[in-house]
Amino acid sequence: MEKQYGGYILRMLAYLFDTLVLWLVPLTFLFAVVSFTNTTTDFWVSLLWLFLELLLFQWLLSYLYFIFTFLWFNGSFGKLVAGLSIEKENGEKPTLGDAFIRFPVGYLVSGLALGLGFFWIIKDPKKKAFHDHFAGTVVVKKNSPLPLYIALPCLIGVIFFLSTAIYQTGIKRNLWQRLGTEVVNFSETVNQIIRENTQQINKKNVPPTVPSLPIPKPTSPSVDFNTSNQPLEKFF
Amino acid sequence: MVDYSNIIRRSRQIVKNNKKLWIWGMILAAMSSGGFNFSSFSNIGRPNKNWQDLFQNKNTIPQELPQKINQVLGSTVSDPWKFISSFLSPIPISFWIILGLGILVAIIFGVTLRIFILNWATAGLMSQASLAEKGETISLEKGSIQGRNKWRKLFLSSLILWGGFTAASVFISLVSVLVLTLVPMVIKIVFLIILVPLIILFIAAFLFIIIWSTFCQIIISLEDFTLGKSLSFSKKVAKKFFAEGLLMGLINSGIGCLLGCGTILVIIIIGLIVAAVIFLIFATNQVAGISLGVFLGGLFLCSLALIVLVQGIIKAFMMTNWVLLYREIQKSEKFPDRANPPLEQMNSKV
Repeated sequence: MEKQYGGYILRMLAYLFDTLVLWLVPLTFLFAVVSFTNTTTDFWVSLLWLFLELLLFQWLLSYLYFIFTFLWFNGSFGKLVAGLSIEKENGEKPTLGDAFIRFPVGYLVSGLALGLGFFWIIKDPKKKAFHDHFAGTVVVKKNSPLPLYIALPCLIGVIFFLSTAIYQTGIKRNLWQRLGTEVVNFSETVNQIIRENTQQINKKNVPPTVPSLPIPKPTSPSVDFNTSNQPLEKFF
Repeated sequence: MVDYSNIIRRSRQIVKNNKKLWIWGMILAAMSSGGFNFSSFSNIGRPNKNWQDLFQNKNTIPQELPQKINQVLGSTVSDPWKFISSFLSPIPISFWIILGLGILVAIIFGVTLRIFILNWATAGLMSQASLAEKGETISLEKGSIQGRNKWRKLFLSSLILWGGFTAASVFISLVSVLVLTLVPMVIKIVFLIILVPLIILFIAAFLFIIIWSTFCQIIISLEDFTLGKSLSFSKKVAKKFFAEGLLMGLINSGIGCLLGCGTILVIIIIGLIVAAVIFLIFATNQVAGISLGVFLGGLFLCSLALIVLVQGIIKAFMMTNWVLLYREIQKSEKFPDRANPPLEQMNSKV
């Protein structure tokens, strides 16, 4: 039976699934750590710093994820859900070297020149991207995509857990109330500025004074441009 | 006598007909230049007199705005140091340790990956250029296999050659500094007289190492020699054909500079014109300015991709020139024809 190769759209969806998994799981873990640790550090500051650290380690996590899922399951979870499998073209068992060439090296190269190597899937007769060419692999359709009743509840479960964690932490730390008060304060002050400004405009009967981009040289003699203003740097 | 015009013509033909070589060239170009950095745009945040002149009509900004901003965002905004220290002070030491560790791992991994890709792509490109010269079909997979087989030797050879040269340079510099600072004046003068031919020797050695390492790369990529044999054989070739190699290097540098710098210059000029047009349109109509900015920004990104492609083609062309020069030398010297063992033999060694 002739092999059926995985097309661009299916592979892109599989990659999106992987990206979602790779971000949601650590983010949930991160939020749980910050939420349930009794730290004196400000909550948002802690979260921001942990997020920064996650950014630093996330790429390493994704490299390990793609390399080892390829070696152990012939493809990432996204590919398995999409019913795809990565195979060596010559039928051999993939080695760690193949996995290394395919993921960090091959993906980097495929990403050159606005992702030309990924779009190559559309043109190639065997639907191979650059990284498939380098590693000597093909992505074949093995099964029909995994039924939605397995994949989707898993994903929804993760999202539900994450949002619950965020909401609960918010309640526990009185974050939502604080956020609401600050939004109200902010909008009130902005409104006040606008009101005062409008009154000033009406009084002076001069063009609108909302900060804007270059306005031509003064035409109204009533405004003294040399003396009445502070230097622009003061505003920044 | 090497016919350079023939080499360049054939090389151009090979690169034109084998577009897979462009991909290898693109990898090398992107990796050896370290990618695009935007350091030239670092002036954007700094005050610029000409820009300030455009905002001379200061009356348009309400006088009380800074105070109002402080009311909304808190007084920390007016004192950046206070703001930064208040942001950094509550961070526990464990966060800093993890952050430092993350950065260290990222640097180590990044450097290793770059070294691997550079050597892998060099071997891949050279072996495929050689196959293309023989009229054989080339493929990314064959090149990748060759790259995987040869990258260690390539890395070690450059480490030995350039490491040795760097160590010698550092040693000579240190001795020079010590002599010039510690010893009496008479010895200093004698040393300075000796230093002039030493500097000339240093430059000659530098040029020789460049030619030697280039021939070494070619020989490792095309022949099936051990590292030691590759080093000694390439040294012989570099000694005997130093002038030919130097001329090839000069031709390549000239072509590379002319085409590469020319392309970048054109892109920069177009980019500046586009930025000026966007700014002028934005000054009169903000909505039109933003829309045009987004559209032209996308086009500018495409032009950056075009630069990578052009540089890739140039790199492939230059490497093919070197391979063809080596083939010419091989023909003229009747070296043992051990070039390009069958690919099956290579595959068995993966």
